[in-house]
Amino acid sequence: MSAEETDSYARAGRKLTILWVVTMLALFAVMIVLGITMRLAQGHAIELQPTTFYAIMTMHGLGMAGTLYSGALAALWYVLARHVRLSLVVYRIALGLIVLGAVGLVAATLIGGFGPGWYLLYPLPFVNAAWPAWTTGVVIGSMMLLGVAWLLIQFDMLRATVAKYGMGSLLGIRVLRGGSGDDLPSVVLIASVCSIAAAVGTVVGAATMMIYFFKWMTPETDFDPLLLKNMMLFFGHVIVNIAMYCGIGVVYELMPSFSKHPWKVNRLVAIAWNATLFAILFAYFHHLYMDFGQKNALQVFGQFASYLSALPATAVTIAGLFTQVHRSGIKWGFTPLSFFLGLMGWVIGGLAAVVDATISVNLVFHNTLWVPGHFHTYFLVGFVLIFLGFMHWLLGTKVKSLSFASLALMLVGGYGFVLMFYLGGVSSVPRRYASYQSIPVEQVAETGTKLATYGAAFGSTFLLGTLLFAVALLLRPKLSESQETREPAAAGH
Amino acid sequence: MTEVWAGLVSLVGGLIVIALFVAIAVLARRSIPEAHGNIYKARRYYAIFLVLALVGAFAMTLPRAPYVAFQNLDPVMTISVTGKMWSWQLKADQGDPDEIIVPLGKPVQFDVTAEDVNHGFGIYGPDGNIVTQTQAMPGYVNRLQHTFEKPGTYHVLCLEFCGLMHHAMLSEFTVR
Repeated sequence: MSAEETDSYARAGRKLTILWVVTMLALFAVMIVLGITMRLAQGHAIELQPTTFYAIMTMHGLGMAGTLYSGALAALWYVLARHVRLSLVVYRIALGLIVLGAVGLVAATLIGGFGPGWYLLYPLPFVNAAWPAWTTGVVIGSMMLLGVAWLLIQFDMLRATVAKYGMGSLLGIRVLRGGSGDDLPSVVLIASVCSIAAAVGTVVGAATMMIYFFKWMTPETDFDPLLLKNMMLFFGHVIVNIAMYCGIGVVYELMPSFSKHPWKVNRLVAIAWNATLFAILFAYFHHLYMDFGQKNALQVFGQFASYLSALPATAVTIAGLFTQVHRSGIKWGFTPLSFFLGLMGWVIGGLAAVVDATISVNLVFHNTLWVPGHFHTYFLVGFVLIFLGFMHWLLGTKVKSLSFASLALMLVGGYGFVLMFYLGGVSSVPRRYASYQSIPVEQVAETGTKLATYGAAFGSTFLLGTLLFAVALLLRPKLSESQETREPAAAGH
Repeated sequence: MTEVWAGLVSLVGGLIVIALFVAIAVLARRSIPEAHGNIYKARRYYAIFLVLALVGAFAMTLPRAPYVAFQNLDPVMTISVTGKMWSWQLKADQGDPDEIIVPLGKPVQFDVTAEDVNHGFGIYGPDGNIVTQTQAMPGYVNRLQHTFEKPGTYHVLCLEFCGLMHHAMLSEFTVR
């Protein structure tokens, strides 16, 4: 490949990535508005009909998970392209499919009123539905589009990795066998773990949607609700977790440029990421603890796999992060600071998740506000900070004080927002309620309503921070002047 | 009490994590190359501590998991529970079928199922907290056992999203 071709590839990759991440940031802001709307309705600051509330709730769940995973894929794509040659054609097609899928989901939920929650728990979409049947078909089709887009990228990442580094590079197998990891960039190892796990999750999700499609076409057919609950929650669990791990891959790749210390692959790192893959695939059983029809052994295994995930996450990745920055003389610019704080949010959210993954605790926390508490922690003040750090690195700004101010607002808003969820969980306030006023337990109704109002205020603070960040990026240097322009998307070639 | 302990563990753990990250961030600003490897030494002790803590937590909590704890109970009463959009039907195997009176301090069993979609059978105690729960799934009967230690009115709320009036799917029974 000539230098000119490499340069052209790098510029096209960069432009596509910018288009992709800016689209995801815009969608993310819209999803925050939907989230705040729900908290305002629960706090009785505004009135929403239950049909509207649950349609918004469905869009918020599907939209956030889809947006954040798609954004994570784009960020990972860009840093992986520094080492392997990914397909621009696949990248373009995937972005197009994602936009189409998003349009379908918006039409079905916000126009059609489709509202069985993001997880479409079988057989709810097909029983006494308050929404027209076409919306169910559109959501099934839209999710298939998203699945195809994600699979294209996942397979392309694996293809390009094997083409450059060989089969032994996948999951760091050759390092596990005693080979050297010196020539294997950590992001390549992490991308293979993320792609394999997410591909398994996406395929299971696609199979679930095919069964839903069959049910939609032939309503008299019945399927096993427990099996479909397993399939749907496996898909959802894997995708949202992999979004975070894609972000961590970006941190492994970029943090050394700020700390001036390499973050290499060795045997321990390879073992840790394989343990992570195992934990991601098997921890999902913790979503079904309250289904006593599930085999007891699987429930206990779910707690084991959930606990296990803490070991590689903290003893390898967080220890690695600390080794990167400890006494390094690092200058805390926006990107390294948001990476650092993002991983802190991941650990805090992860701790709350491990607590809830304890079966005897889940008996009183399952489907209370504790659950959105922990996953909003590792998204809002975890992955999102990493994603914004990546965007800042990619685009830059002329007004650094503005981006730091936006970070401060997001930290105050984000932690305040999730704290209201945690307090709700401890007070047994149920999740997914359009209104708390019908609850006959007075203290639960009162606490739920109050916390929702405070949550809306903190959520609005977070939104303000996000908008300020967008303004800071608008005031960025010209593409030709920014330092990252000299950073080719395909430096490995 | 479980929710309070869980909340405290998370709060203390979260504050320790924040303190650690802030300390590392502040110390990071000054470059001392020879101090760089200190994290590796600390990591070994941390990993040992974490493994011991997780094994300890696993051993302490597993016997309290419902599927394990139920094995030692011998229920004196069985209540059939059926969830359907958007109401609960409770029927006891003894006493007045229209008014469920659950004996205080004795183990009882709820046989929980659903007619249409998934529901969540969540029992709230007189102090306003969840005392126990299980899922109500069509085609499955989940056997939930519990010994009620406080007299009073217990409320049933749906804890699995089941459609338009999910938030108003309620019932209650008395413990005395």
